[in-house]
Amino acid sequence: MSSNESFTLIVVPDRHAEVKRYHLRKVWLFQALAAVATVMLVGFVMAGHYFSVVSEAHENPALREENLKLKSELAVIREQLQHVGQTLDRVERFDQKLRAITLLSDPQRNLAMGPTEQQPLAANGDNQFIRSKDGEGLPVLAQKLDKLSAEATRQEQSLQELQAYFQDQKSLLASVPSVWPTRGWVTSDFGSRLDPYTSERVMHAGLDIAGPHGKEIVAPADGTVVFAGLEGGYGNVLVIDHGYGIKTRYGHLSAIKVKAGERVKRGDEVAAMGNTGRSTGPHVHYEVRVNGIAQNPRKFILDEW
Amino acid sequence: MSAGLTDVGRKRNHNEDSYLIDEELQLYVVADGMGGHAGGGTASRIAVETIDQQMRGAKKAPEDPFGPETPLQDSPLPEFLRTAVEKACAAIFKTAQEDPRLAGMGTTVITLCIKGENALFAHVGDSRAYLVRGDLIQQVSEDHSLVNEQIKAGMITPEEAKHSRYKNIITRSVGFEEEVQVDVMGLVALPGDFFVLCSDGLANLVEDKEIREIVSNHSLKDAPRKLIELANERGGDDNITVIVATMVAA
Repeated sequence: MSSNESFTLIVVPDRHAEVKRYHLRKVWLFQALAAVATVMLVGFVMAGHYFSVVSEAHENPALREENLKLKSELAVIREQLQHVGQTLDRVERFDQKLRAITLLSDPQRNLAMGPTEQQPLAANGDNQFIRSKDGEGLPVLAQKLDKLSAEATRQEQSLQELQAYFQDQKSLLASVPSVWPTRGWVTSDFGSRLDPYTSERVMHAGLDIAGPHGKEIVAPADGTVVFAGLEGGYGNVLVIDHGYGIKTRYGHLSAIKVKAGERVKRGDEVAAMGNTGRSTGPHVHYEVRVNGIAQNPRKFILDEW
Repeated sequence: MSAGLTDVGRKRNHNEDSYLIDEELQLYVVADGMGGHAGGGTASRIAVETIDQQMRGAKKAPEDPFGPETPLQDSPLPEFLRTAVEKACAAIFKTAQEDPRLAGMGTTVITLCIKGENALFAHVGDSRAYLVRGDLIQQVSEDHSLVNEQIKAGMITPEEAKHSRYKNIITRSVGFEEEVQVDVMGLVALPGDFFVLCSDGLANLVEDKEIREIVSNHSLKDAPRKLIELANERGGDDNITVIVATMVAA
């Protein structure tokens, strides 16, 4: 067949009308068929894609839900991590205090008596483990975990050393004023302050703990009473010698319940809070001296982290 | 009951210490004078005399501090002792102003007054009061000395203080200025307690626990002599004065 072959399509109407003739080339017919086939093919492909998209859309809510769950789990983990970080911080501070105590009597360390200053890092309780911003990714979290576990290992070693040390030094531990002698409001801390009488800046060598008149005061460590009596502006004063160069002093007492020369144990009631001497209200002036040097009593108190 | 003794030591040629034992008042004073050839001895002598006069005067005054026994806390004696030392200070200062040869003199003062079971102290300088009770010996007074300030500031250790070239420098003295800040202390004595008052001539050469041993193991009468002998054996660098007193059983 040549491309010029053609058909004639004759349309004969029923009634009195002209017969219509249409000349159709055969090529046209093939072209039309090809066009229809193409359209149908495209249609099939699109339909197939449509159905696959529809089925994926069904999965979407499930995925979203899973995503939410994962996010909240991540938040929980982050929180736990923060918690672990805080705990480690406390352990570190505790460790520092214990180390401070060991320095009291360890000539091998060749260090001055008395505790070292706390690291500012640990002191404000805000270190790199705790700060966490939302949107921190897993890599950051993993990094933190590494740091924490390294820190935990270090602490464990440190505490093991200390444990070994303290096993040899039970009497030292009993001699350290490691508990509060009384509970109350700390109205004046150790350090430089304005004198309540003269408003001059002076060194305050102890802690002022205020409470009700007559509140009991206990020995914060084992020791021997070396002074029980009056001492000028401090009113009724009690001094306990705990050995290892450690002495604790209590001022402004209303009553002293032990005598010089008496042995006392940690927790024994030794005195009562009062307002004697140069004092503006019932409180105890509590001092810790190591080899004669006044130290911050808080550095030795282990029941406060 | 008490016993006291003073000795020039091995290095000095005259004794500038003075002491007072007034058994009627149970008043005991040790004063260690300083300044000039004649000044030190004069200052310590004026101190003990003035304190004795003041306390004897107080006994005759209407508010007699030697009257009825009071609890330690309410005892009026510390304030009388304080006033007596302040008067001594003014008297020494005045004498020094009047005589240029005595200018700049001053003295330490450690005073003990026993009343009933109360033992009361007034204190300026580096002479010391100790309580000896059984195995315990405790310094009741706190030295007003440069080395003690250095110890408290953490600059030197108590061990270093013993060999410090500044150990004779005191931060307060009676009579060097017109007024002085006096420390007062008090404690409740028990039967068998001993009180030792001494000048630094003893305290610098004899350890606390040696003082305790000698006082516990010798009669009251012998103890001061034994202590002074020990200090002299070790060089006797300064005048040595010791009073040992004990509570009279009621």
